[in-house]
Amino acid sequence: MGMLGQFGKGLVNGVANGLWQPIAQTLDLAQVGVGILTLPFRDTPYQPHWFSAVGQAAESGNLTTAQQIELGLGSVPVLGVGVGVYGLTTSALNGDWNGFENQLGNVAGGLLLLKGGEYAGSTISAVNSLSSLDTSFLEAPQGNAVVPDSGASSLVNGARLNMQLTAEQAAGVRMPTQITGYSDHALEQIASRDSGIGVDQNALLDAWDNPSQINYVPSKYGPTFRLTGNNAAIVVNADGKVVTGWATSAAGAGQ
Amino acid sequence: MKNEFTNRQLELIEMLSANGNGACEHLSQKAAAGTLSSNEIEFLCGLISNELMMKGIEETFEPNAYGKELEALLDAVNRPRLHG
Repeated sequence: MGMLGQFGKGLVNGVANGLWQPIAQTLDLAQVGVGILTLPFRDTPYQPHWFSAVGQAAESGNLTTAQQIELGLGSVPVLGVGVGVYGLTTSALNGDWNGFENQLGNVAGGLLLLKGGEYAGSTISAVNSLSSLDTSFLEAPQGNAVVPDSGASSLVNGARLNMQLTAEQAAGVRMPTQITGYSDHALEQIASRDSGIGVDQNALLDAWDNPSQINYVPSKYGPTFRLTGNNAAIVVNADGKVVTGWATSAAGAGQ
Repeated sequence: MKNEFTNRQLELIEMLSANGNGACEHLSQKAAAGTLSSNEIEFLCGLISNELMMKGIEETFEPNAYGKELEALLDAVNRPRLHG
């Protein structure tokens, strides 16, 4: 099959898997539930018919555990893009250009689905904005916080989105989409932490906009998120209030 | 610039490192000797930040006395990075 054919095949697979696999996994899960619930009433355990790719692979015994996990993650629309990028890189490193084209199609298919999600997400955001918190000069909507852009930057944004989703999953809440204010302590620290050195506000906002790391940090009073950028780190609570921040390099220092 | 720590701050580093994981228990010695690497500083700042959020803040997300102590520790640990 030609290179374009491999891309097309990957594209169709990417879209089809992104739509079908979550449904198939739900059906599989339901069967597990049926199996457990009917266990006391059956002589032999209920034998599920696996619908999902990962279920079928596990039953076949042809894949290693690591491969099954990769397949499972790849079946989730958002995480699937990240897994596809990993496959893309591996294929390129191995000189498997047919596989590269196929994976490229897979990633494109996943991004196509995410783009669909973006339209759904923007509708929800518009509804939420009706009850949004106060606006001030300190507010900073986070760039690409919810859904990645299309184009070359999408791969980077996909990695960022994965970090955010992992942190949100651990926190059990969504990360705030914008900075809504600063605690008094944060303002003091930005102005003069470490005997007057302070933190450069642009470095803090860059950490918010372009984090290289996002961590969920539990607190006694609700989840917080730590975003580490190139020159500063910032901690925000679930309401978008900056709790504290610090420079991580000389360029991030205030003076 | 070399880190300068009070005994209390070194105790805190030892306590936080011990809670982190066993491989990092030597960090308080390295901190005292002023030989923390950039990665170790980053790691310690993460531990201090975690402790700050868990035990060092009030309901308003303003720091309590322990939280202010932790912020001062973070500054002391972080100082070498800000001076190249």
